[in-house]
Amino acid sequence: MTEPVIQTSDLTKRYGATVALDGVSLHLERGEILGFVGPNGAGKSTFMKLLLGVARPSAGAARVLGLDMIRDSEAIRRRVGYLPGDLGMYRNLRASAFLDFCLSFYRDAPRGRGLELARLFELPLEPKIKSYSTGMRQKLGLVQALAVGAELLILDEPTKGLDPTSQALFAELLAEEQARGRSVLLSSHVLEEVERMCHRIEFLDRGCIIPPEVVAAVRADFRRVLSVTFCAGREPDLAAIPGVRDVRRERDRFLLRIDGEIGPALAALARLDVDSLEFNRPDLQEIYHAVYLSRRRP
Amino acid sequence: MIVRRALRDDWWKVLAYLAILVINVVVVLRAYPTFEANLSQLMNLMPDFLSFVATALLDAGEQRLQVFMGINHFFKGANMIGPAAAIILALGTVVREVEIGTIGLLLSRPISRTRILVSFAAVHLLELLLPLTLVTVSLPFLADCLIDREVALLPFLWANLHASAFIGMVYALSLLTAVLLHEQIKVAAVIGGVCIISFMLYFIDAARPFTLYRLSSIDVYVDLVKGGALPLAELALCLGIGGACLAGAILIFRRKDY
Repeated sequence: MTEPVIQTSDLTKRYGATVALDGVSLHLERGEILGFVGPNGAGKSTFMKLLLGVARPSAGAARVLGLDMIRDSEAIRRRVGYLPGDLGMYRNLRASAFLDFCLSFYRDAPRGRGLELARLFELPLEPKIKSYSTGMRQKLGLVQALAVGAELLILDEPTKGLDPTSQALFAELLAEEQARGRSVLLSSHVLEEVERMCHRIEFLDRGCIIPPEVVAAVRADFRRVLSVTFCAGREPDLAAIPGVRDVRRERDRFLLRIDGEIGPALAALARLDVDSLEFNRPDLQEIYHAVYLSRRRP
Repeated sequence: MIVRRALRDDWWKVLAYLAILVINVVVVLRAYPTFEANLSQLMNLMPDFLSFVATALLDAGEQRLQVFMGINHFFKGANMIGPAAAIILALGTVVREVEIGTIGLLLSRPISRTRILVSFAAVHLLELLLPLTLVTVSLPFLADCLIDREVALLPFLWANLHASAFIGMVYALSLLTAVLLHEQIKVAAVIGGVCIISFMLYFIDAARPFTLYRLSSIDVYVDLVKGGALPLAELALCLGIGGACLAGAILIFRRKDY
C-alpha cells in the first residue's frame, strides 16, 4: 500500500491566544483531488502554509510526499506547486521575468510549460505586472504553480477573479494533472466548482475538520426530503401523511421533510394523484449552509 | 535568483549612492585650497562642539589634506550616506516582501530561509562597500586632477576598511529590524531615528561614548589617515555587533510565521 501524499495528525497552529488550526488530521491519496471548504478564517490557508513551511505548527505532525513536514521542508517544496491565497507580485517586473523568477528555484521546471500555459490562458507575458487586471494576476499565479510540474499541487482559491472561460480551462488542466497521477489540495468558496472538480471534500470550521459523520447526517437529512408535484387541481392534506414533519411549497411542487420510516409516507403518497416524486438531491451549497448553520445554533 | 533580482532592483539606488559619494569628494577637494588659505580665520569660526575637529586639522601640518579628506570622505560621507544607503537596501528585503505580499510565494520555493537572507545580505553588502571603496581608491587621482596635490592611498584603504565595518554593522542592524517589523516605514523610522539621534549626540562630549558613531569617530579616521594602526577595539565591536545582528536576523527569520 502506498503512503498518502499528505498525512497530517493533530496539526495545530496557535497565534497567541487565537487557535487558527485545532488538531487537524487528514490524508490525501495519490491522484486524488481534495477540496477544502469553510468560511473565512476557518484555517484553510493556514493549513496549506503549514504544509509548505511558510508557518510552523504549534503541535502535531505531517508527512508530505513521504517526507517530514519540518525536517524535509525544502525537499517537499521542490516537489510542490503552490498558489497562495493572498498572492502578491513584484509589480514592476514583466510577467515573463516574474515567471522566470518563480521557476528559477526548480531544477527541472521547464520554461516551455510556463509559456504553453500562458498561451492557453491567453495571458500576454510582455507587459509589466502592474498593468495586469486582478484576473490576469490570478492566471499568472496559476501558471507559475502548474508550470513547476510538481507531484502535488496546493492551490488556495485558484479560481478567484477568473472569468468563466478561464475557470473551465483550469478545470480541464486540473483533470489532466490528475490523470497524470498528480494530487491536488485546493480550497475554494465556489462550492459548485469544488463539487465538480474534487473527489473528496473536507469541511473546515474554526480550525477544526467537521467530522464526516456530521456531514453524512446532514446529507442523510436532505435525502429525507421528498419533492412532490400533484395532478392539477388536487391539493391533498399533506400534513396527514405519516411521518411528515414539515411541508414547504415552491411554486407547484411540495417539499416534504419526513421523520422516521419513509415507507409509510411513500405508501400514503401512492394513494394520491401524484404527478412526479423525487428524493431531494442537495448540492454542496445546500449542504454547506446546513452544516455551518447546525454548528452555529446554540 | 535572489541575487539577480536584488541587483536588478537596486542598481539605481547604488548609482545614486555612488554619485553622492563622488560629489561629496569632488566638492570638498575643490574647496580645499580656499579652506587651507583661510584656515586660521575658519578655525576661529568653528563652534565649540567642533573644536576637536579644528584641533585635528591645525595639528595635521603636512598631512592636513590627508586629514581633511579623511574627515570629509569617511566621517561625513561614509558615516552619513553609508547608513542611509544601508537602511534603504535593508528595506528591500523581508519587510518589503511582507508588505507587498510576496513573502508566501518566496518562502514556498525550494530554498532555505537562511539562504534567502544571506543572499540578500551578500548582495547588499557588496552594493554598499564597492562604491565606497571605488571612491576611496580614486582619492589620489582626484586630488591630483582637481587641485594638483598628492595624498597617500594606503592610509585611506585602512580607513575604508574601518568605515566598511561600520556600514556593515548598520546594515546588519537594519536587516534585523527588517525581519522583526512588518512595515518598511517603521523599520526606516527606527533605524533612521537611531542613526540621526546618535549622530546628534556624537557632538555632545558627555554623550559621545554612548553613541553608535563613537565606533566610527573623527579621532579614528584622523589617526588612520595619518598612518596610525587600525583601532582594533572599535573594529571588533563593529564586526561583533554586525555579526550578532546578522545571526539574530537569520535565527528569527528561520522561525517566524508568515
